[in-house]
Amino acid sequence: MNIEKFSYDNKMPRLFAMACVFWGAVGMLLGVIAAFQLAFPVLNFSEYLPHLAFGRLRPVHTNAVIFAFVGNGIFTAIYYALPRLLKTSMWNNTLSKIHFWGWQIIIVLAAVTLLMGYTTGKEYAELEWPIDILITLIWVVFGVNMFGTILTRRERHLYVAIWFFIASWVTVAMLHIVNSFEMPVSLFKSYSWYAGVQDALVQWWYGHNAVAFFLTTPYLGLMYYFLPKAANRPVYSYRLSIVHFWSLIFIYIWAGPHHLLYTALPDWAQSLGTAFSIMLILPSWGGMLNGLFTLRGAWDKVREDPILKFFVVAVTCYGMATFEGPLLSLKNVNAISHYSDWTVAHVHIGALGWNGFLTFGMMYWLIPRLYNTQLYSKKLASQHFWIGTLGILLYAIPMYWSAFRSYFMMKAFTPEGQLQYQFMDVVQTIVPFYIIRAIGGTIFLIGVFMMIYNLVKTAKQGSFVESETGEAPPLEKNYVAPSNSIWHSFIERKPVLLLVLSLIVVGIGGLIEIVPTFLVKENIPTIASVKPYTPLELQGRDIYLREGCYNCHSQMIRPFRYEVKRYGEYSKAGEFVFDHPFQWGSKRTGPDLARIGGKYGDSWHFNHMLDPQSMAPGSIMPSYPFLFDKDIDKASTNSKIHAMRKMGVPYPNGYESIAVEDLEKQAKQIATGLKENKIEISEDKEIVALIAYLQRLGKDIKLKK
Amino acid sequence: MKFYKNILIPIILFNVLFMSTIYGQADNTVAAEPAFVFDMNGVLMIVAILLLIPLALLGSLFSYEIKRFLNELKSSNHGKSGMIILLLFSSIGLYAQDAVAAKAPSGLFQNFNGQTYTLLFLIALEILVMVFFIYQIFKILRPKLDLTATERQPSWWDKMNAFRPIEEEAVLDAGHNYDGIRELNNMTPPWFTITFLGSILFAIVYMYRYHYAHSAPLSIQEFDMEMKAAAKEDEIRLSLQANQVDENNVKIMDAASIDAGKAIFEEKCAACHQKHGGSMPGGVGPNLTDAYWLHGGGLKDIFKTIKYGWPEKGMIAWQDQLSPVQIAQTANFIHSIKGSNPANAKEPQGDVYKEEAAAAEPAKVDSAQVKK
Repeated sequence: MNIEKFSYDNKMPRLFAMACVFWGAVGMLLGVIAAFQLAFPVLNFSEYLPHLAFGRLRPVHTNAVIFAFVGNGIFTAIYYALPRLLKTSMWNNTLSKIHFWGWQIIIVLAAVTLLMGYTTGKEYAELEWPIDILITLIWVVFGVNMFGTILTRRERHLYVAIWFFIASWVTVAMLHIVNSFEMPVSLFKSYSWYAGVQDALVQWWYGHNAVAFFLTTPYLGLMYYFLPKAANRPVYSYRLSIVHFWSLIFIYIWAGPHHLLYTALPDWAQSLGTAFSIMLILPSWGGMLNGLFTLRGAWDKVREDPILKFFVVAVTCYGMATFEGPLLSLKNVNAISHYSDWTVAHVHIGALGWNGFLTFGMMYWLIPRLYNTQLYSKKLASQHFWIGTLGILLYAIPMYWSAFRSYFMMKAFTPEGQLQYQFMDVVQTIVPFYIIRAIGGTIFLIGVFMMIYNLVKTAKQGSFVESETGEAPPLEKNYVAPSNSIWHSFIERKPVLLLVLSLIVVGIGGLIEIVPTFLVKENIPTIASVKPYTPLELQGRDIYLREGCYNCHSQMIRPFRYEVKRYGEYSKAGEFVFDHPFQWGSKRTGPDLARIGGKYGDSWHFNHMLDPQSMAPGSIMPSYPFLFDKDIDKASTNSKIHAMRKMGVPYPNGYESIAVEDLEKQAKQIATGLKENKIEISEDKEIVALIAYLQRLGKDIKLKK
Repeated sequence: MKFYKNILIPIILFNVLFMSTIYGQADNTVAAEPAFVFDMNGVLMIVAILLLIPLALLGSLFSYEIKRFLNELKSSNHGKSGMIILLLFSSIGLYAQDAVAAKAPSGLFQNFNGQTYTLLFLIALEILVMVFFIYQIFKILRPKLDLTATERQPSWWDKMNAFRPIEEEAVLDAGHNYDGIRELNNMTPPWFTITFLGSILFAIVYMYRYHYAHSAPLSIQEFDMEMKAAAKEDEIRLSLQANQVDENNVKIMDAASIDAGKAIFEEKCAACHQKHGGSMPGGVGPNLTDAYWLHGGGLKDIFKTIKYGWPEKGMIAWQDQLSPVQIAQTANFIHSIKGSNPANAKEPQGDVYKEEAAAAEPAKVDSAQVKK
């Protein structure tokens, strides 16, 4: 048998690790700023410039933490673990470099464009079409490199971590491509291909499974490598790995509609979302059990070793979040949690606890090994652990509390049958909780800086090992499996089969939910009185998207007495057929806007956008003075109408050529109306378009009634 | 020094929380009430302060234990401190009961305000920090306690998970070795399999009930039931309610009612009309203190304007937020400030309104349109 020698490259994992920690600190810092903005609106700085207001900053925070921090964390793990698990080098070093730098360029482009207001208006998929294409290309580069490595391996069977990496790769590719179908209008403007209910379904199929296949399954792979390594214990159950891997990826994909309970989504799809969410508990817990039980016989080490402490809390947070998630999918619980801070607490248990702590544990394990030294300070790492845990608690508990408090206030009726509290009463009650939450986040961030210091010191005291050598015999051509091997080992020998099977398994749920929603007419009953937006309203809607209003305002009134009394008739599926993209939102920091049209006068909106506190004392909304200076981008009207018509919005043929005329007419009308109220504003300003849009919202159906 | 920090942190947090309490309270302080009422919040505050005592004790014990642990690694008098810890445990139990007892009489969340929540949160936090201290103390003690531990029978935990003794691990080895990672082939915990099958059964029953048997209400059916129940309540209440006041029968009311109307006006209306009702130059709402009215200045007109609003002009309808009596009180207040002409009021809008002329006129037709 001839033994082959090869090298494990450490440069790529180190680069990814540095990027992961750097973007992690940036992303979390933005989160802390956004958290304080909710308590102190002056921190939006929107008096001076539009870029830092909450509506623009929050998408940068979420994108940075998910795709930059966790993304680079995934790649660190894969570039370190994959070659070692397969006894080979990474397939192609050039592709590795393209992957690394390409991904960092995407992150920078994402941050810059989002702050500038270029957004598709779909949560966690805000990036505009050129960046979407770039992501697809880099993802393919990554996939080719990963599969090249797998196909040139010297280890016959694939370890469970690699199953998770493969399934994650193929599912993320599918989700990203399907959800990003959009009609470009210009270089940095596009409209979602889907509209209304369909757009919502596709978006949350994507959004939910971005959590599943970007934040969860790759990190399970990461756990399956680093946890047994750090504990020096065998993985508890190979059988459990098989059961929970396949059940997890099959069931996860169905659960998306639980983000749309009590909305205008067809009932059958909502019920499927709930039913599959409940079935998801045990497959998720399979990962937690395999992680925790692997530590059996090593609990004495957990007391000593901060790395294992991080892993234990991470896995426990994973277990908590994956139990809580299905709980939130029950309709009666969702009635409380949806649009509330509960959801925010829930995702942060996952993000801070599971992704954060697992990443920190990995870094404390990995960096000393890359530099052939010991960790600079175990004590500091231990302190980081405690401070991080405190940060998570201080973050989550006030958010749970505020969610229940606001729910009980929102639904309270006086004995006379009137709503007991105004929306503003609820906002003011919740602000103190926002402050505590922001402090919790700050504490967590301080822990991260302690880690960075510790890691830098570690690197300085050691010397970087650029590559390590390994040796193994090549795989023999003719392999006969031993007669006692189990059926699943066949799949473990065939990576392409594993890839195809994964795609089939994750494809089923999506197809069954999405295809009927597009094809069966009864799912979205049309309403004759619902008409396309006027050109001015369309421009106003694009401003609404640009400023990220959907981050705080929903446009979906659920069928509850207290919502109908507060906001008006509950929303119907047919009302959204021209909404490219849908703007139902997922959080109500401000009130619902689905039927804001006509509730206040134009002058109210004018003053409110200029200085929200003047019209609504105690409001935490940022002011938008720049809308009063900027001119409406009339030149784009033509192509916007054209794009809409191509997607089936029934503007008359040739309407493009007269659209601007209509726009100016309507703008003049609004400006004249404002003048009667002693308000002077040029009809060319963006505020006019925004008022036109807001005054239109929810009116179609009132006309009919 | 670390341990002093551990005591300092709760104190700092206490301050921060307290500040937030004040923040939350600032908008709804009532001047006339006594400075301190021995209500639920009072009890909670005392509990929160009392809890600081065991907290400080635990904190110092914690620091003492650690120092002792470091100094006399092989000491054997851990029984004594164990007793202290047990005592502290029981005291925490008592305090925890206090907190629960204080919560009970309030019934639902009716009497809760920002302060209550903050105090409860604070107490929870204090207990949490104490648990942390106790956990840490036990952690220090445990290595020594472990020495005395003898061979154990399988616990319920071992049985539940079908754990095999660690010594038998070699039998379970799946024979894999991935970069040094071995895999065992333990069976999946029995409860895992059973619960998983149970969740699948749940899902099937769920779909069956909602979409085949129709024995559970879908969203809109649920809504209809809720609205029906509310309508029934409304009916009962209205039949009991003597003062079924509306725009046709609203009457001039007494000074107390006008005062109540003033309070409502200052809370809900002042944003657009100012507290004095005169609005301001360039203000949103019209001046309500002069002789000029856009929609009539009679008591009934004012009642109607408040109730149904003039949405196209920015005056919202208040009928879902104010009760008929509250609307009547507010209308009476507005009626009472006619001619008060405060400084810096808005310029007149609309027509001069004369009381008698309007009385003769029938109700305006367009109000019917505004009605649902």
